Amino acid sequence: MDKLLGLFEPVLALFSGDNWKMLIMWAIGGVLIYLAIKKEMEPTLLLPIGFGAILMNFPGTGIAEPLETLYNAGIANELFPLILFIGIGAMIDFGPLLNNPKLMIFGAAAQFGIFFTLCAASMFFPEDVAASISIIGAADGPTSIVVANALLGGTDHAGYIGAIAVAAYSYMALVPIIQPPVIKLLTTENERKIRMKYEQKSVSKTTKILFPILISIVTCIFVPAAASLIGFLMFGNLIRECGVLDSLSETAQKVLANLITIFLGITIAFQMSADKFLNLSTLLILGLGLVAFVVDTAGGVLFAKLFNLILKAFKKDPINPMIGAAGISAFPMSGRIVHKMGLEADPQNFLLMHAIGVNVSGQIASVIAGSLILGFFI
Amino acid sequence: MFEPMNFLTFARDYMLVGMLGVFMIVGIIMAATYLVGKIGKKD
Repeated sequence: MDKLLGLFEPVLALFSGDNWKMLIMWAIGGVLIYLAIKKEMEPTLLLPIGFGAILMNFPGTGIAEPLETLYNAGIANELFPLILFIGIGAMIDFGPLLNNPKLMIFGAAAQFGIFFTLCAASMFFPEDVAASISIIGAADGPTSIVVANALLGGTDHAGYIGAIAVAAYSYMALVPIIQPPVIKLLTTENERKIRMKYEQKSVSKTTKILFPILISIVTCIFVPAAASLIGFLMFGNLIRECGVLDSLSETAQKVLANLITIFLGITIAFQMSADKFLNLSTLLILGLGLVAFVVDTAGGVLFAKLFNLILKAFKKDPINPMIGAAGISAFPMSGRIVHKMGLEADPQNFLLMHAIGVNVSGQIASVIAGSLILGFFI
Repeated sequence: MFEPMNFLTFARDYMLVGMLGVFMIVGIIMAATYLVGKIGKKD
């Protein structure tokens, strides 16, 4: 009889002490899984994170040990995000950007949210935590994880890494909901109707091959802290563009990226035990993450409007200010949203190539901004 | 903790420098991209 009752001890343990908080984490994990499956919001990451959040919150299971092993093997040393960057680099076609390199400045402008959020977060958190939260505005999961881990890993604040990763990926998934109202608020109907000429220049194979090599060299010289992120991103892109490694390119885009994504999501959940995750700070981090995305979008649009004033002074054709919003690095969702909004304003307004050019430059600029943050606080 | 003055301190110390840094480095990358385009054109 005692043995039979003993079977129920783990159930009773769930309701003893603070263990009820674990039930809330199950609910949070369930919500993430629901959003991933039902709403198809970043399912490749929210589903493993959600399931991992449930697994992590049982008393006395020992599941934390294998997850901790994975965490130390792949996130504490930043290996998983970096390898994922090879896959991302292999997926990105820099053609639209090479066609019109001046679009890069809009990618830079849309990083304003990172620095604004740094200031906002500094009111509530110590500076290393504030810096890690600000990088949610990079709208790039791997960059957020690398920066947060470099600043917080192994410190008393390591518990914030889980919330930061969840916020980064959740808001990336919510870009189609977050960006349109901000863009509409800051632009007039007439501005959204502005058409932009697209001259399809042929980008030679030599240019496409030299681009990742030269960008890596420039980055390593001027921003050594970004060398690993940009280097791995550009390595993936070189595999794609060289033309003699098609099978490696395909593997990097699909198998490698998928494999790392599986481990990345569930390993992040190691930081999602109830005692670390359930506090007011997590809510604050989620709120500040939203601020970062909104201010990024606003910064990009307002900079594009400012740019139009300069173009007007020189009697040049204006640009559609909405493309500034695509400088947020959430690729390719942000570029597609701008294109869609252009079509809504004018069914003949095709902004896709301009928006995607700005979008891929945002990918580079967000890594630069993340590296500057690292440089400031390490 | 809630330290509203930190916003101004951080804005002074990091916001301007950070954005200028991003624009400067992206500008250098943009120049390098134009250079790559020129080299590649000879292809």
